Amino acid sequence: MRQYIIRRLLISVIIIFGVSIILYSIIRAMPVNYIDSVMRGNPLITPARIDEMKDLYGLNDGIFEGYFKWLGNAVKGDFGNSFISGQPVLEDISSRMWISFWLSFISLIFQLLIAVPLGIIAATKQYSRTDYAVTVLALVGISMPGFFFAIILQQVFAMGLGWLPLQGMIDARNHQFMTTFQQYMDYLVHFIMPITVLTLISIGGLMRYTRTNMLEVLNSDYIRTARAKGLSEKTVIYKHAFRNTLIPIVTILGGTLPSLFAGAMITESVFAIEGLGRAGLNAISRGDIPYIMAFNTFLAILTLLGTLMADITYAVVDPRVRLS
Amino acid sequence: MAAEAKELKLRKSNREILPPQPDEDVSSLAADKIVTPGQLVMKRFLRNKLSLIGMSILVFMFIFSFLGPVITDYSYSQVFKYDDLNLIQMYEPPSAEHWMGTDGNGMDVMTRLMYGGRISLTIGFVVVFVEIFIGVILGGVAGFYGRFLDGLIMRLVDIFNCIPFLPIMLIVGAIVNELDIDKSKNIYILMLVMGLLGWTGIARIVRGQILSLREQEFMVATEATGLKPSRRIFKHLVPNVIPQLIVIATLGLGGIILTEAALSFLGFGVRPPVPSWGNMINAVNQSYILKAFPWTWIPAGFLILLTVLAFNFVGDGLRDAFDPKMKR
Repeated sequence: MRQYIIRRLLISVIIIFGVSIILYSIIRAMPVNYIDSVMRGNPLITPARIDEMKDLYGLNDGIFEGYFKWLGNAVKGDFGNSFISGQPVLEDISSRMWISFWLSFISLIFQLLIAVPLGIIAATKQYSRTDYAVTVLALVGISMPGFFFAIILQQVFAMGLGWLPLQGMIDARNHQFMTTFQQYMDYLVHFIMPITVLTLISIGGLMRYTRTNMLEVLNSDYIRTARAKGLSEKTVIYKHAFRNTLIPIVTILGGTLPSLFAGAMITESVFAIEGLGRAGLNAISRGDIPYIMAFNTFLAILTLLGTLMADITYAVVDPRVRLS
Repeated sequence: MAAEAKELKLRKSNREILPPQPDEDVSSLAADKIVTPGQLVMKRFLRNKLSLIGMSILVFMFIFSFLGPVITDYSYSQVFKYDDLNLIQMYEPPSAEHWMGTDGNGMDVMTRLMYGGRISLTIGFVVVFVEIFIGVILGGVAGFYGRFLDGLIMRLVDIFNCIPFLPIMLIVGAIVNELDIDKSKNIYILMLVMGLLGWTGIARIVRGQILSLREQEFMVATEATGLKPSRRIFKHLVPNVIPQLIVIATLGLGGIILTEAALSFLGFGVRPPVPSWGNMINAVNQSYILKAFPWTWIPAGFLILLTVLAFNFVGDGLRDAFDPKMKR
């Protein structure tokens, strides 16, 4: 097991290396140039000064030169300073990461609470009306464009009914005068719509997954044995079948853990939540190369960790699996 | 031919004699006629209500977006003005002339929805084609040859898997927007890139299937008859993977249409005046416009939802139909 993990981690390093090469060359091909866009229209700036600035920001280096400079620093843990904020990129990421994390973590809990029971009910009543309803709900969730759902929610609950704030994370006028508890409530109110969107658009996959696995379990021999023994249907489903359905669910949960930190680009930007995704989008549109590189490398690392964790949890939970 | 016709007639007459059975299952069917696997799949597929609904939505969407523009006289970038004044008809509500009203540029929303659908569907099919093309070749080669080539291709799959899709598509979208080419052409480059980034899932499945098929007797037979490897891969192995490919392709189509819509919504995909369902929602980015002129953006959103949903219904139905374990 330990040997397996070490080997996987070593391979991951090579993969990250490959990913970062591709990322860097694509990013350097971007037409948006941070210095040009900041200096544009400023009459006091001479071309020579712009050139000097570009030298300072490393934008005059070729792709190879620039990449190895970046890599050399990145290996030492220095991902440079963000062009936009001027702060070290890692600080930027770590401060925003937790906002994204709480957003997706709360959403994940809701997904579990809704998707797992519904998936199980759908499987036990296969091809019934309930099953069809759950299937349709799951597929609507998968098919819903997140931004469209977000705008509709904003129209109905913020513009129309006025129940919820339109966007942002805090009530800018009153937040500082609130007690701590009220401040938390303020965050919560602002998070309701984003969490609803995230939950709906990602609930479908989990629901389908639960249903498929439950069906598989229900068709297996030990369930027939349990029924033949004369156990009640409740015990068969909620004691024998349910526990075995949990195996694959725990596995994919292990896999999603790292991705909780990645941030949701579109939802965050529609609702103006200052998480990683929105910052990433902003960085891309303004050409903030250090931030984009660090952000994307971070996402790649999270993906690799996710698959590794899924494989490990699979082996831990299911004794039949041997990692080699 | 004649014998076949006779048999068909016989089957028909047999069926007329037998009382109609409400829920024939496979075993009783096999008794009086031979059912090919294809027919069985077809039968299972047609029995699924959701996939039939999906099919009808798709047929409607195709007619709407490929025949619609032929029938209407308007072009998608035609700006309508009031006759006597030289004013643009901005945000006209739905009327007899403009069934879905006009948008902020005075263009007919209905016409733009049709052309937008054409673009979304085309993008879906082209991207899926590119993905399957690359995925089948690389997955087939990796599964068939194994060892070094397999390792190399699978590491490539790992690398492509780790490239964050949306950020990279946004960056590529920004690059393509600045290229000195026709606005209506830049979408082709985006399609190609989306295909290049998305083949890994297909390659994995093809490889996995081929790894297990390669050891079976019929493959030993092809080796014994001395067929070329390329023929053995693409004539004997790949056809066995086609059911899975069809399912992935159908489900993938929906995903790609969603991605395109999201990209265009963020302003990095299809560029106006060329319409796409995503950029029609992006065009109304101020909340008072969203509230006051719902006809400019709600239909586009619903068309995206319906189309993707239809592809998912059909894909889901196909998966159940192809799965021999699913009994109904």
